[in-house]
Amino acid sequence: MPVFSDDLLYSREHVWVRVDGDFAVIGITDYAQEKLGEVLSVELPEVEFEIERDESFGAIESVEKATVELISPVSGEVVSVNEDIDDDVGIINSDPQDTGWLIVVEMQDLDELDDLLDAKEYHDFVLQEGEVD
Amino acid sequence: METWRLLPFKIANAFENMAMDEALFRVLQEQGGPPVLRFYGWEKPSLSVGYSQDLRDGINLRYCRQSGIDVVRRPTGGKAVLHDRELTYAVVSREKPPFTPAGLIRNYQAIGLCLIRGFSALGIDVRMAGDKPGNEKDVIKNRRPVCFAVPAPFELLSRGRKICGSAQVRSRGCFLQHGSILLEFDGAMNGLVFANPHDLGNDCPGDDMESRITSVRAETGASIEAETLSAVMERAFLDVWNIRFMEGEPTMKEQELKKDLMRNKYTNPSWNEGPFGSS
Repeated sequence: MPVFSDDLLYSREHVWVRVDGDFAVIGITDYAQEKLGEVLSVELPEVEFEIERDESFGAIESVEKATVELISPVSGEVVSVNEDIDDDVGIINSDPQDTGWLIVVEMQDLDELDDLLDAKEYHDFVLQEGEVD
Repeated sequence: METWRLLPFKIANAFENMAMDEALFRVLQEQGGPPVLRFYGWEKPSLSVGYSQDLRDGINLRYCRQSGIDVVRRPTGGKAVLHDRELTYAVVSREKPPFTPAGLIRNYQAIGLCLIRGFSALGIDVRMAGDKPGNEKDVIKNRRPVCFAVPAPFELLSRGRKICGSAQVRSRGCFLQHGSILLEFDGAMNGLVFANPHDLGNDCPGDDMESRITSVRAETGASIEAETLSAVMERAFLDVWNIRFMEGEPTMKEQELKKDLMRNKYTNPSWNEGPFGSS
């Protein structure tokens, strides 16, 4: 049963956001990592890279030979990338909504957060996909 | 009865094949539309590598260059495939029945059922790897650079040997799954492209490629053309899913995007060599 943390915002592309002032910590949801299966590798942008909302900012590949594109929920500049993933990509599976975070973005437009879902709305969204209880 | 688009069998080079698959995937994401099934072949032996595969890992690029083997990076995951005598399929769809957003392997199952029906029509008994309790040992985590070295969950086996290898990319509620159905397996050429025999599954003395990998020819004794097999597989998709096909060519937008992807991505060394380079 995936975890839907109340302190996060969620996109319909299964990415979570933890807001800290103008900064957004971004990762994939617990639901997404369950769908994906064991993560083999992840491709992320470098610091100072400008990402756009609704555009791909990287990809994750699973042991099931699937590449899943990461779609950004916000626009802005990447200010930090989780280097712990280089040492242990498995934290994306084991702790996706905390230590398995992917990037931190300095947001250009905080209004973009208005389009994201809270935990209940995201839970309802994935229920519509028919795959959680 | 649902209508799918069918793009009939076509032979093209490696770069065009990948660009076409991705163009269909991107346009469906942007515009929506019915699922797409297409079949294709390769105009000459070509190597495709997985989206995040390191080209330095076990691939003899010098041999590829000297032999005129095109090397292209796929948009999908998985490991390297030497495409030669094969039929390649591609399915592009939104994540809706018979596909589902949950669990990537369910798509492998859904499409695998159709392919199994097609193989059955040829008299080839095929099952999915790890398909039931007791068969878990079919599936081994593939740390080798070669797709056909070991089966992933629900990939297709005949007499325990892999006959079809598949991979996916997903984005924005849509997916592309494509895969190689071996018409014949050229062990000699594979042995030159993948220089380390261990990478082809030779774990112990007497354990050779032919004990891991098979083909339509090896199973039937017959040399079947890719286009002939595509017609058999088309029929199998119709029968299993009770769908109908709207046969046609790619749209203008898909054609234009394919050209753009060929020019800027699939013939571009920065994409094909990837973050690891080719030295």
